[in-house]
Amino acid sequence: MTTTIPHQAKLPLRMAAAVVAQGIRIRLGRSLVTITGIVLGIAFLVSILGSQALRRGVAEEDRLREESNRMYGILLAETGNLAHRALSVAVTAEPSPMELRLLRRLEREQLGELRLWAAGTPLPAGTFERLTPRRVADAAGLGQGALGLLVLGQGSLSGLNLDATVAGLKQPLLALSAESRDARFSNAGFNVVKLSRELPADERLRQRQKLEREHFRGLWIIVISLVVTVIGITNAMLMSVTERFRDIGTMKCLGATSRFIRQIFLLEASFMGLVGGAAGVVLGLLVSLATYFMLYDASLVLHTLRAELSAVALAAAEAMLAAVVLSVVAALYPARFAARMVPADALRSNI
Amino acid sequence: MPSARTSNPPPALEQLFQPLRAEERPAVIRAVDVRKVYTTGEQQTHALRGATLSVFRGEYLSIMGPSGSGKSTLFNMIGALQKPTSGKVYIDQVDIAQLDQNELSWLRCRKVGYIFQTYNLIQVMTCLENVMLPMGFAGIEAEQAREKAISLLKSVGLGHRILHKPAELSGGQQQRVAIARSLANSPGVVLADEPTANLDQRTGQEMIDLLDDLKQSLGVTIVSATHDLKMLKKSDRILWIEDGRIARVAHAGEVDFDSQEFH
Repeated sequence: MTTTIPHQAKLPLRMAAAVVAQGIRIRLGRSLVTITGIVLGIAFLVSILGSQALRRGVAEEDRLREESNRMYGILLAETGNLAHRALSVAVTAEPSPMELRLLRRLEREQLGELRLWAAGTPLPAGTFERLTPRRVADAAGLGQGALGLLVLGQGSLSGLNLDATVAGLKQPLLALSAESRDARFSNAGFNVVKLSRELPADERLRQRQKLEREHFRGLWIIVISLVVTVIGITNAMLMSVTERFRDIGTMKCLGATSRFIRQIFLLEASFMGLVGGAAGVVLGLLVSLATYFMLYDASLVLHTLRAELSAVALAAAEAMLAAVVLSVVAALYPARFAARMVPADALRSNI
Repeated sequence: MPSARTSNPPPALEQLFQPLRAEERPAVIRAVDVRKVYTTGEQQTHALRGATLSVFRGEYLSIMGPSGSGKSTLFNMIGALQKPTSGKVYIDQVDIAQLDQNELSWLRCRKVGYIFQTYNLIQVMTCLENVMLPMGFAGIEAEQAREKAISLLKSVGLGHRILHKPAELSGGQQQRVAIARSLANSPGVVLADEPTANLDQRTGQEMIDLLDDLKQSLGVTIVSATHDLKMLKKSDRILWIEDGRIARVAHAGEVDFDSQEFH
């Protein structure tokens, strides 16, 4: 003559949420430590993801920088130290961004004097900050005493007495920034240096492999940092469970189901994941933006940010999702541990 | 060591409960030949070796026994906290051995109230929330639970402190909250585990009087494990457990409280 017993009513989520909110409020210190772990992990993740989006925007800038650096390096190898010396520049066509950058680089390296010969195409205003190029019209003025002649653009040098110019140089150095068709460059007496060049196939392959390696290494670091975050959360949650053993046992005595206890810890974890994730996203974006503002022109970064806004937002959303999912995953074991607790333990006064 | 399942004949039930049969009160709890064996590796510990008892509605039963006597195990069975290895434990006609974890939760929630030696209030909750908690587990609507919790707190003399946190209360006041909480779902039986052990003499006496009042006014059934003489004197029956067996059951009136065993 046993009465039938219905299953314990599913407890309202609201009640679990209230217990969680109270728990977090009271144990704010510990919760903050746990949340800080999430914040750091997610900040790292979002800074990597966000940087990937921003890097696409500044990739062209990076290429220009790298290429102009390389051109500068080749030029420097031929001329020796350029500081306080004179260099001649012949502009045959509108200079490309890369060539302008090369000129600016020369300025930065304390070039003493820049003599400019231009076939009607002057340099755009604002090319230099300090250096004032001296425009010359005749070959003698252009070449005299300069370390070499830098030819910009693929245009023609017709109108310039090349032989006379080179004769005036300290050494017969002709540096070509672009592939030029001017037949006079093949003069055997000239030391012709091509600054632009196509990368050989094996070099391109090496670069691609280097990128892949970096990508893989980045991925690996992300995975490691997230695993560390998860372990940190699990550890903190386990401590929290141990700390609340008596409360858990008491609640079980009062009729809480294992499911309810599990819910409490999973809810707490997802709440901390949300808060930590949000803070981590903000922190990570701030850090990566600050880095980009330091490395690149502000206007370029802002422009990139506007162009890549959806990608950055996606990265932020992914990081938020990761924060919640990882927190809940991290809490699975502690929650199960708590739910399995035997209620009779609460009766033992030594806990 | 004998196996747990060897069938000893049930103890002389008729003898044990003869004087009580006359009262013809319904049993809230019935334990029949309850055995409990804890197995740790090869080692088997027989905590209960066939205990049979009834707890009647509205009575106050005290359980006495030295540590290791099986007292805690018996207590846990009566509270639906543990299942017996063999034998039957009926709480309000329900055999707890048949229940799964969820059903046990249901039973604990509605049929049993717990009072702990260390009060065990949830520290992060107010008194009111503590008393409302079991009603929440029972699915009672918040407003209704709130009203009942307030009236329970009033009945234990804490109507003016309902929004205080346990830490702001004295031990006696905390135990009062715990008593109010144990009554939240109008359980058939209230289990009290050394409820006065952590209290001073005077507060302990207050607690005993309060439990006695509640028993008289609400007809609450109380089972307590205690060594407190004041409590024993108030109980209707006293049950001694020794070595996993019920050694003796007596009405409080028949017991000589001046004898050596109480001092």
